[in-house]
Amino acid sequence: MIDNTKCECGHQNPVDTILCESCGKPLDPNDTLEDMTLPLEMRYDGVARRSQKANPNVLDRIWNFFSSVKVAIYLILITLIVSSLGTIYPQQSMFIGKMDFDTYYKENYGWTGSVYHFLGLSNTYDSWWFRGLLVMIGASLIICSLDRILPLYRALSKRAIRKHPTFLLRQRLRLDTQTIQGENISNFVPLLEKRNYRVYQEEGVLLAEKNRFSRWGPYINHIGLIIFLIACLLRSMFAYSLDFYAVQEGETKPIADTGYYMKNEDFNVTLHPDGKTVKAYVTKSILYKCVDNCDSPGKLPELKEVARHDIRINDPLKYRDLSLFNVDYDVTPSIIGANVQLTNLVTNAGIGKFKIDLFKPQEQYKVKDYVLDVMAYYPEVDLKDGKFFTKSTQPKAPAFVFLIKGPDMPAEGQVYLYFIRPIDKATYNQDLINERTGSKVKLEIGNMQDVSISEYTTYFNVTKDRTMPYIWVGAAISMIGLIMGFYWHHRRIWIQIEQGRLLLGAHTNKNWYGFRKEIAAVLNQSGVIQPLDDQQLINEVKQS
Amino acid sequence: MRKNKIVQWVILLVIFIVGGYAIGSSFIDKDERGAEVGQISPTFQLADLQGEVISLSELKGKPIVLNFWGSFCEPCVREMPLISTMSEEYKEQDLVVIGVNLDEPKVVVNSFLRNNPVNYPILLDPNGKVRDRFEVVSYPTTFFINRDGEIDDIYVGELEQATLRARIEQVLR
Repeated sequence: MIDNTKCECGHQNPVDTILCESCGKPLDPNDTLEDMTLPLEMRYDGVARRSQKANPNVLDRIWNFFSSVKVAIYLILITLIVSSLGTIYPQQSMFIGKMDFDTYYKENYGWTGSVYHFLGLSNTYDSWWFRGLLVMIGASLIICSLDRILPLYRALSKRAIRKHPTFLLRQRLRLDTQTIQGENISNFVPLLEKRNYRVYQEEGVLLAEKNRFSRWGPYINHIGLIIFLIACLLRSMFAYSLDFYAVQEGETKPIADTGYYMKNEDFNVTLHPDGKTVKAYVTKSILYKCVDNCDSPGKLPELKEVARHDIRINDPLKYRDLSLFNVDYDVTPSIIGANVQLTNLVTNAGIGKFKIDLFKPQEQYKVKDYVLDVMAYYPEVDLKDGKFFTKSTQPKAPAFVFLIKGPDMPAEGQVYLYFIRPIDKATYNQDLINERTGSKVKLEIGNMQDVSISEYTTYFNVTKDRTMPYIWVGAAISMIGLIMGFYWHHRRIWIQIEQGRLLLGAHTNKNWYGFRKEIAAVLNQSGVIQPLDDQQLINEVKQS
Repeated sequence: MRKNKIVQWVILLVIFIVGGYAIGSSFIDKDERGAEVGQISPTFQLADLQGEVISLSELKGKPIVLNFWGSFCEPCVREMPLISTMSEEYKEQDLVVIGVNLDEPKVVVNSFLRNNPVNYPILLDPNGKVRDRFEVVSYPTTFFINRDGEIDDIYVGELEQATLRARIEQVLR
């Protein structure tokens, strides 16, 4: 069945239009006699939503589903509820490495943990259904907005100035009275214009309007939200993040999968006078980019310095889309380098010094005519069953076995045991053992300046992400939309004068009393009607 | 009206594609990560102590025992002679044994192997890249990879003869 949707003014309206888009005459066929006297429903100015059709097909049905504000509210509520459920127990993404989550949740949280894991809540935010909800909210935002903004734009920009009398008399703010002198509607124009109204006139009728732009506020807000949502989605899919990336003082370490390396040059911590609370910590850091041999096994990567920064809390090192934040530190004392002196035992004369990097020791060192081959290196030396071994890869107690060749030394070389820390030297009787082999040279460290010590390990959170600016832009647009809608109100006044009778209808969305005062002042100053108290203007307060 | 319809379809299609991609990627992320039993093993290219590069993908078709070890790790050191013996025993049957060292300096690995020789190649893994790719968190960890390149089993801890033999027999099939 095709409804006849033509208004008596001649305008062809879409199906389900409540108020004629042109003259404003109420068109709802379900209106009862009683309804006919109630104030009009002015939402979206009574236009039909774009998707409202007489015979919806599949496309229309999908479109209608997402176009519904009710659906949008349910989607948001469901998302809110599952988001909060996801915070009850730790999420799986918090853990690093292989884990049996089934047992983890069961052992730590009992049967509730089991159920939690079984329902998939332990992986809420990365799950397909959570993303599905976000996508549906996004679709709803886009379609709801499109469906309303286009018809509303049409209704607000292409409307007739002359309205059907019922339209005026069924406004919440209205007046029906006799004029006292003349019928010159132009008297109102300067008064309204002084109050920043834009006035449109036709024979005996006028429309005054201000702040129409505030009607677009919600839609601008939605555009901002859509940008925000898309940026968040992209961020969750593509942004790189590495938590608790540990770099020891003096160490240069790759940032996994980025092609960047960072060096922790120096770390300093300042404490408050109580001696316990941290006041500030600073990491002097250098960022390198790998330019060659980045992924060639067996070769050293070639690094180029790209940035340098003193990282503090909330003051990360930033380079392009990469940010390194200081998050924590640990006291991990270890020796990272030593400047070792080679001395002739017979003459007691110094031969020369050589430098050892304890993270990456060379296989051979040369001092003048002497050659020192590294036979063994134990970063954290210990003894078991008469054999040396290392307890870790950290140079906490470094020990070397050198094969030294040189003048006055046996041709096949001489084995020399060398401990860098004096305490190990004593524990393992370094001098006694070397004496027994008849060594003619000795290795020693002159003073503490010849030892580089790393006291701390700094922990960083690394992020690499291009979406952050879009998130800010989206948030800013959405804020602008909110401000537009909140702080300005669309006010419209229709006035018609015909044969000594003045009809007035007015509509706004907020501050009806202020609006009424404004109208009463305009009427009184115009002298067109008997002066009236603003409370004589009918202003039906909505019951809901 | 017709134009509107096309616009509507286009908007729905864009939402469907973008949304579908976003939802779909939540499945892919999981599969990309890590090395689990039943999955195809991640690959790598690492150099041995002489600088010779060994690539796991070139060994496809052969059963592989991949052992992560460090000279600082006592159980690793204890199980190495056993792995070495087994490597010899199953050499004829195509078995490839590889040891990946856990980011120790070359001199450390060299001096260790001089005193504790093994007859299978030892590869250096600078900065533990391959260790991370295989998600190895405790040592030793040994991966058993079958001829199809699939991870047949992962053994964490010191291997004993019977356990090792059973797993090798399994991947030889």
